Amino acid sequence: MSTHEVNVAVNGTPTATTVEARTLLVQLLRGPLGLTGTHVGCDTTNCGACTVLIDGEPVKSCTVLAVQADGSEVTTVEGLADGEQLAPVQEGFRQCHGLQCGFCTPGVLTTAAALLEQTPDPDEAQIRDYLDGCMCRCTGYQMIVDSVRWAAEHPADEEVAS
Amino acid sequence: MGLIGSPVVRKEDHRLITGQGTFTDDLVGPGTAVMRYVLSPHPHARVTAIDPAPALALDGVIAVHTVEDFGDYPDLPGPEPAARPVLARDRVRFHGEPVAVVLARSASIAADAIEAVEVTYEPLPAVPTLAEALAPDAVQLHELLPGNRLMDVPVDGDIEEALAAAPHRAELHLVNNRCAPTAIEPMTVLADWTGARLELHASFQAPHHLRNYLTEWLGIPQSHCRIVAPDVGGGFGSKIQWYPELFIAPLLSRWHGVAVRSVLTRSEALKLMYHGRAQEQDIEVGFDDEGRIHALKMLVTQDLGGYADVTGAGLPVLTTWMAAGCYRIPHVATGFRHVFTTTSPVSSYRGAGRPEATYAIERTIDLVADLTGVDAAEVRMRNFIPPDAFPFAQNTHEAVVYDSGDFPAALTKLLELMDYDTLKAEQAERREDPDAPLLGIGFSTWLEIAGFGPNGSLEGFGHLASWESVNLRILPDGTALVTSGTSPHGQGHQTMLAQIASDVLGIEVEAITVRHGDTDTVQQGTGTFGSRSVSTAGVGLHRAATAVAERARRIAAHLLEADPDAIVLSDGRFHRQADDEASVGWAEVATASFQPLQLPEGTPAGTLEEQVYQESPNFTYPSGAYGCVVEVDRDTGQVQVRSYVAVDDCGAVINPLIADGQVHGGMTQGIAQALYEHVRYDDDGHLLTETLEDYLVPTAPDIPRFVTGRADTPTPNNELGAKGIGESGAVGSPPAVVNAVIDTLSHLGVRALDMPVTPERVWTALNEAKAAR
Amino acid sequence: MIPTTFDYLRATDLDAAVEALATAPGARALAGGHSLLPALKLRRESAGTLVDLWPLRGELAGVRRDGDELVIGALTRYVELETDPLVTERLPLLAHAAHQVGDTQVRRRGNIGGSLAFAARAGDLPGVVLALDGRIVVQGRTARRELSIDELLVGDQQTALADDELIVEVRFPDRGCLGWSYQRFTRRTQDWPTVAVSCVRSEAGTCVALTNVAARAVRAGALEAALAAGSSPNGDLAALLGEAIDPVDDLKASADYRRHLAAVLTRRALVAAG
Repeated sequence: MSTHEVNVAVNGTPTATTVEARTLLVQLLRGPLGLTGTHVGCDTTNCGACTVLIDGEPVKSCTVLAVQADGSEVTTVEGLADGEQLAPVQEGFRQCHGLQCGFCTPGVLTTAAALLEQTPDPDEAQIRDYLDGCMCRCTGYQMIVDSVRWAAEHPADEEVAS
Repeated sequence: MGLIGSPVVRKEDHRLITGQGTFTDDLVGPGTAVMRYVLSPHPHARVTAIDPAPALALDGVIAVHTVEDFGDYPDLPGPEPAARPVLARDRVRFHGEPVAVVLARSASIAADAIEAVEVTYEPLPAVPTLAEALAPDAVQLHELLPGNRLMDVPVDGDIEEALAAAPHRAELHLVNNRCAPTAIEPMTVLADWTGARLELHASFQAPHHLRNYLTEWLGIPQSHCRIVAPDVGGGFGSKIQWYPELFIAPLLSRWHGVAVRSVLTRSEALKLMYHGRAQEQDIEVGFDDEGRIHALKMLVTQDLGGYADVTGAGLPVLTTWMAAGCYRIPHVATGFRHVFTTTSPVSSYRGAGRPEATYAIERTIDLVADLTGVDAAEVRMRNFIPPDAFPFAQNTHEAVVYDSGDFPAALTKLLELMDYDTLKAEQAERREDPDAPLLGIGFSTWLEIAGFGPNGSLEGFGHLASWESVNLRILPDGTALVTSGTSPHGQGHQTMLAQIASDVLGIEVEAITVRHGDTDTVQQGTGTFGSRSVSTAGVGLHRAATAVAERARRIAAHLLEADPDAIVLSDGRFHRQADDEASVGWAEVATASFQPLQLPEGTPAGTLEEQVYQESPNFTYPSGAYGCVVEVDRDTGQVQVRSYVAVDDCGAVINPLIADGQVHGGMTQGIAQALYEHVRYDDDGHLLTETLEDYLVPTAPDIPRFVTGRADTPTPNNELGAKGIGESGAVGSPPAVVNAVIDTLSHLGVRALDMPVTPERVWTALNEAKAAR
Repeated sequence: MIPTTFDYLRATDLDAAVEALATAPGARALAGGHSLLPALKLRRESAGTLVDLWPLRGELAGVRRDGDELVIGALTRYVELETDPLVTERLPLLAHAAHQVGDTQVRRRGNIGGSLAFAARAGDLPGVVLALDGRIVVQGRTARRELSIDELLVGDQQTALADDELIVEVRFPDRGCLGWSYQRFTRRTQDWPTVAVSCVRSEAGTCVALTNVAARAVRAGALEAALAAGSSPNGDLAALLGEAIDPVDDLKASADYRRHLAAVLTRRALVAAG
């Protein structure tokens, strides 16, 4: 059983942690790094609650070893906002009731943030297609779609962003 | 004011969208030990030996316990003599039943340790189906309950006469497929009893209810126990059961002097969290050529699983109460029986007995439509209870008195929204065109019993009482604190209750804090389930706010040296009289309320606080008309939901954003039950749907956009007029979908399809229908 | 949720990777990990050493032309296959099918080499590559060799790869695609295909491969021959497929239904491919 020092920049902050080889990225985030926003809802890579961005791309952090993330930049739900300024996708979920219990929400938000980065003005079909790896048991998805559309229609205010 | 009915953006959301939520497993402190179960790989077996030694030899394993170690404690609460022991005692009765528990320093060690415990089993024959369990020579699961039955209430034989007198009669056997509620947060418990008091955090829907039972079970004073349901990641009825970890984790914490955490994996949760539905129905209906129903007979067979859960045992009772739906049927008779099988126990899942009742009556109505040739919407119109008949004492049970509704109006609105006539024409064209997918239109004009409840209604399910408790307190600066005994897990009570208080008081929603889910800070509580929170806590808060406003008015009058009866509360200020600029605000009144020198003589300090134990005079009966349009691929049987329209009557709506969200989520679960989800066992009783790879929870591209409308008739049972809406979508949806699929094939003579309506089932039905022609 | 213990080795180059696979106890290659890690987490499988190939992406990911062939590095991810201009132009079947695999997140880790080496009976890419006559370049400790996809695929999660062999690239001949279709049938969007049919038409003829109707993806040889002979096989499609396929019953479908789906989807694929 090997152990490894893992260096990951999480939400812009460099971290260094020693982990067992079998430690999953989500366990590193939730445990030693104390970032409990990322959740675990299954053990077969189906539900997407654990989705984070690795180097900007949405990945299920329950299916990546922590050691595999060494040297990369990880963004979790805690890193979506710019200080007090919510990201458009976060504000969209608030405005359009895109969450109920909120447990799956961190994974949906990070995935939707990646979609908007890649496709700033997605239509409903594109949104549903892109979120096919995220299970939400509360909302029935429609208000999630509406929330992402809201974000597309309200991109970050340039003054705030600059 | 006027906030009731406004789409106020939720107060809850900011924490949850920034990753600052506090779900139970987010609260784990350093040094917390991990508890895991050793699960039985057999559905039915004798446990002949358990050797913990190999597990105890692993570095970091604190302890291994078996049922003998809990000998000083009773079985888990539940109907005897089929109550469940905390861990399997001598015998396991479902695949995955825990036989031992491991406590370890870390999750990794615990995962290794549960594999190291050596358990010797002597497998017994499994009885995974109702048919096998009911067979005369069936293996018996509980010695004291012969025939694998708990209760057996036969159908009153007098109904035969009414059925015989009807011009036509028909039979229907229906299966309500076993579902897994699948809240995305699996059951999680964090227990700390290293100090004098037990502190338990749990993903649970009713913390005070848990406190009442757990303290009695442990034999400790209630004052020595704090239960917190922090953020809870969905419940859907699956987080009010007496799961053994709720009882074991505190003892392990006590015995070993560490905080203890139990988090089920999803594959564990699919075995250990109780399932829902799992009910079959045998129906006979008598009707005439016009599609009028004369008599209805229904025998409900409820699968309880390996042990009896008290709510699970109540499911068929609710099904029989609601057997007649929103129809006036001259003769109705029902019966039910509970059957044990070697499967996971069955309990409440969103709707709990009412989706099953809705499925029965709404499928029956469509069968009558098909057999008489009367349009399915028209059959409904002809049998509806008329709008002038309320309150309507339904003839299923004396407790069932429908409060209000206008079923023809809801269906009429639905038909308009769907553009039904155009759809019918399109359907006819499709049937003539062999290259076009078949089109089906399905209705569900449903009604459910909600607002649990009236005194006596929850006591039968083991609750302390049926009221809900709410407290309103004005703080010295004129802001407000509400504590509610409800325990939401996504329903938005912090917003909904603040709206109700704000509506009465004129204090801004932002200035009202709502607390819930903590037995140390919330006076008492019953919990959140059964679409009850608005009609109990919401109404209680409305009364509390009204009383507090009245007392505040008197204080304001004293400050303004005015007549209390002339004081007008408007926009959060107390005016000397209407249109009088002289006024005081909540801050001044509230401050004065704590300063005896500022108060009228005889008024004590601290009167701007009110506590209500809200009792309900009757149940509420939310209803609605749902319409589903499906397309069926003639070659593969694949079903595509093309559109889905819902017209709901939940009485008054407090927050339409939240109400729509509840309906959407419920409808999605109902569609999922109808098309995708099915807990399945193999012939030997092993669970086949062990993961979300095989248990088919749908995602966004699988679910349609919904159209929603309203046909609200306020309930006369409370001053808000609110009926509740948490379960509506799940109650009403399955038959709308199944009726639509059958409607695609009805011209071929297809009269029945079982849920989930898989492509293969549709294809098979198509083939059989073609062969029969 | 937590695998049994293993060692982790980050491959520094291809030679080191195959050396480790040959010598490290219980070594297994970790490519995208989206089949292997879930199996390890459920403890349905175990590993002594995971040899992480991800650092070899610089070497083993990407799409290039080599003469008439299109060469796709083994670690090229589904998301890259979906959008790569060479793939979308020359192998539109592959680009389209890659977008159907798993879900958005899975497609950002899963890759063509991993899919072929895992060789799950329900995997999308083995059938697609089979229809496209891909050739698999494999590096072992002592030699590099090239197999046809047909030679690679043995059974459900069984390949002709030796323990020390890694897929390094997949080479596709340029046949000039005249038409193509991927017919994929699932219960849910994110599911593995219940049955899938890959079809590609070129001057050389029509190739049809079937997924999840046998232990491995199979070519519909009799059908292809009939098409080559100029017959229009609509009526006896099931008979023409019958010899190639041997479906199983599972939670998603019965064998009979799979047989039926194979015929329906094949007919549709032929129509769509023109």
